[in-house]
Amino acid sequence: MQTETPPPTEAAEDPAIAEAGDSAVQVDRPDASQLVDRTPEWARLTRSAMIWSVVVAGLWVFFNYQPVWHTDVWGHLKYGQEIVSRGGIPETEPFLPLAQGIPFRDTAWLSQVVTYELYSVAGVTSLRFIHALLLTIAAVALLIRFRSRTDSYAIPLIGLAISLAIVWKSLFIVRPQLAGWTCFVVIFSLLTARRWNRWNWVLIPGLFALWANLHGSFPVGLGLLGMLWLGRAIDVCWRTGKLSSLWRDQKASRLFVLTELAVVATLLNPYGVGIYPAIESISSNLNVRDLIEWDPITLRMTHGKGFSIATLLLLLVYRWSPRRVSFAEPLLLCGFGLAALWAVRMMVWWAPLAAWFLVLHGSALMNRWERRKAAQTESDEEQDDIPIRTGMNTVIVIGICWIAFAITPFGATVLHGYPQDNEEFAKLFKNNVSSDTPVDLTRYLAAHPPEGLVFNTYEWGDYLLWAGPEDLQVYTNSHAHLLPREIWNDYFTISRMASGWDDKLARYGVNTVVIDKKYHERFLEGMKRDPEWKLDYEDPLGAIFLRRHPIPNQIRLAGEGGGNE
Amino acid sequence: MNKTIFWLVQIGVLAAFVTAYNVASTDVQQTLKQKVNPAPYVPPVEIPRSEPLVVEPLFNRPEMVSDEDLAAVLWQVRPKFPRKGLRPNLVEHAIRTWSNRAEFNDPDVLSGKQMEEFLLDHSTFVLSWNNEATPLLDDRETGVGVNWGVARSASVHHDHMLACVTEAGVKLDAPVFLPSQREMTLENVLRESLRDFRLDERETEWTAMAFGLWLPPTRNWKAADGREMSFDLLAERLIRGDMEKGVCSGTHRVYSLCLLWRLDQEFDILSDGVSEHIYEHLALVRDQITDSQFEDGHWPSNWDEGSRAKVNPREDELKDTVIATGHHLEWLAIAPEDLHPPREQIDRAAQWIIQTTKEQSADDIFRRYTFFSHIGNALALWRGTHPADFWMDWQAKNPEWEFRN
Repeated sequence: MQTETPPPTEAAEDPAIAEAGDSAVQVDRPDASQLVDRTPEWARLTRSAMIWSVVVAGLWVFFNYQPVWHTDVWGHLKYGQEIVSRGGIPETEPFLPLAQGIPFRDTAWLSQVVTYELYSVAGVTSLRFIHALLLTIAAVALLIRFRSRTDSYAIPLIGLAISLAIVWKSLFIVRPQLAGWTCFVVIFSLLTARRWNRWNWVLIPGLFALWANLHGSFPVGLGLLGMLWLGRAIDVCWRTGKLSSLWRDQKASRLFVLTELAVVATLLNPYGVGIYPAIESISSNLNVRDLIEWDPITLRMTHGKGFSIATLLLLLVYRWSPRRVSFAEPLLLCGFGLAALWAVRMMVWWAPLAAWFLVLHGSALMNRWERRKAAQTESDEEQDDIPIRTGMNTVIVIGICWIAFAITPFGATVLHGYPQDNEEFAKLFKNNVSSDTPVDLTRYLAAHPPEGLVFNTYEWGDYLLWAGPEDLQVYTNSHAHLLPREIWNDYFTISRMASGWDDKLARYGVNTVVIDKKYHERFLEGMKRDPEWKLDYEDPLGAIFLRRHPIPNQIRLAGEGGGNE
Repeated sequence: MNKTIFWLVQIGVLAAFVTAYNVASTDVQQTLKQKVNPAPYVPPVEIPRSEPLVVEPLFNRPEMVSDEDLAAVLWQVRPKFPRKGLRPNLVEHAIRTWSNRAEFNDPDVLSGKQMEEFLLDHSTFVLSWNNEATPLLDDRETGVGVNWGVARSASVHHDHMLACVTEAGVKLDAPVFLPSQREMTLENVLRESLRDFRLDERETEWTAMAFGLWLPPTRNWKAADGREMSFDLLAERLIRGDMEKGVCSGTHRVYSLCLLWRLDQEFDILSDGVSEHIYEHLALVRDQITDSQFEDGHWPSNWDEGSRAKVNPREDELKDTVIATGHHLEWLAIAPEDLHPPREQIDRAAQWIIQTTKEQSADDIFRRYTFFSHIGNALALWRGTHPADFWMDWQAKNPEWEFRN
């Protein structure tokens, strides 16, 4: 331990150090000079940054502990595996025997490949990691933007809560759309910054190019850019009364060109310009209209309640907000709001916009209120607003980051690896996936591979494909738009046991039926009563039925791979 | 923003889109064109022939079907129909059996040419139906559709008319006269079928046959919805499901499969795996009918149940057993011998069906003409000939001959 006194100049500059130096001489206490913050200036963080890092770390850990949902993600892994193994995107649907020959335009190929590659290296916890990473990036982007408009801690948090909570049911599921949503939020955050950064000319088109390969939702981002430009254009024309002034307005020109560059950037994908009709054909596909997320919003839905509350709050802040309202605001809120009313899945795009405008006008309201309050008290006190940056805060932030990483399931498996014991591994796997995932049932199916087409309920098709036996021929998975219309309609006839359901099962040559209990209890009970079928397997989640007199010599084509976990 | 930069960006954006369009596949270009100008799309499919293929019979078994028996059966199934309100379904079955070259001494019996005219010329159809019915031929922007469904004036199955005139030997450039006076050809009917066919519609038997007799050696083509179609897919679709499910107790599926398998031997239109799958399927059908045949020679409608069909016999009507027996004899006549049940079983089936047909009155036959017509075709095939050829020869040799039961 050193006990030398600090150099006089330094001690003189800092009374605290000087005092400490005197004490060290007198009572042989530790050299306070060692407590000098030697962290480089650029690496020092404020207390506020430290507090926000705790918030972000808390969110990160929370996101990391969300179980892997039992639907889409497994199908995307399967497609990712297929793309990697064949070194390209299949031209026609590769797994569903009833969709053979149907053109396969994979607008999420990059998400699928990345997820699969990560999964093959880091296992099931990597899915939680990806989920948490995307949500955290989006949350940070939102917090940075919210925080830039207010000093309050509460308002950004409220904004973030609105962004996430009202659409949590959609964000809860790890799937390519989440990657698209994160791109949307980051782009929106860049566009709403107070100052234009020239790097945005590269960054925003680059994000669009990435988005066009991650998920087919990128037209939403183009819509965002287009509406921002249109809003600005109306503002300018309204203010000046001249259309020509539009060309002289820096911001309007910038948004216009940026929109164009973004459109061009989206052409950088395996389908080129063909991605646009591909997306159009998916969104206009009649099959997807039968899915709940394509339904219009109602108050019965969680999304509907969230939408109503957020709308009410927006009306209130707009009523009293002292801030000028740009045309882009009603354009965005109404445009995306109407889209959300049309199909509930569009809510995810509306929520961050609503939150942003709530924060924007909420903080303006609060500023006015604070100014009035200050005027009333006529306080002369001046607050020192210069934040103190210290290396200690940086150390704390690094520590928090490390802890936040280490305590997550992904961190734990990275640091300690997966259990070698099969039972332990299976237990860990089950702990990481949602309780609705048919792990045991699928394992049974893998041990007793069925022949021919298996009629399965929609929710489980992806997991059966991923973890089921080699060459399993499932009736459907979550890629409903790839199924011919007749087959999709027959799915409902069968699963709802409507008139002729048994005839249809026979016409498809189905000898095995896999049913979940959560959504198809009636179907399951009906099958138990039907003499043509016998119960082969049952657990708390679902059951497998076999035809007593199997139909011979059924479908052979399609299907490679299988048997993953 | 600098004006030069602005306009440079505009040029760059335009160049990017022009390049993207030009490097896109023809499918993508076609799709984009359709989005811009949403007209119905007719996929370009090569039809490499002007006359349909014929799948020739493989046997001539006079000990199984004598000339007299064949003549008697063909007499019973002559297309002697009342001309008023003539059902297309009857004519389709008749022309398929008799072909478009058939001629009869009896003027009340429709000749092959008359049947072809009834089906392909709206003015002839109107003579039978006046304006009381929806026309059989549907004038569409994309070609010629055939109205089908439950109406008596309509065809009964999708593409049944096309398949029947194809089997009857009508040429691709045969004129088709529509209600709108627009003159088209059978090619327009075929192309419309290629456009509007969906693999997962309920009945695919006739489409498979028609495509099989026109398209080989083409193996793959693209449907209007972009689906990659192939004879492999058609064959797997025909195999799919419980064997009895399908028109005429599932026997048409077997016939169409056998026809595709035979065409594959000549034109290689199927992958090896699917060709083997068809063969295995036909072998399975052979085993089931071997086990399900009744002592008198008939097959029941639940023939697919094999021996169980005899243990728990179904209460079939005569028409059901006529359908099953007649149709099985028909596909067996074009199938190689290793796909046959033992010869004596085929003989027994033939004897039963000949006897049964001969016993029917003219009214009975008329009421069930569509089922009995297959018997005439099946028995002629077993004699290595065609009903029209045999009949015209028989008629010439025995001008006064009449069958009386």
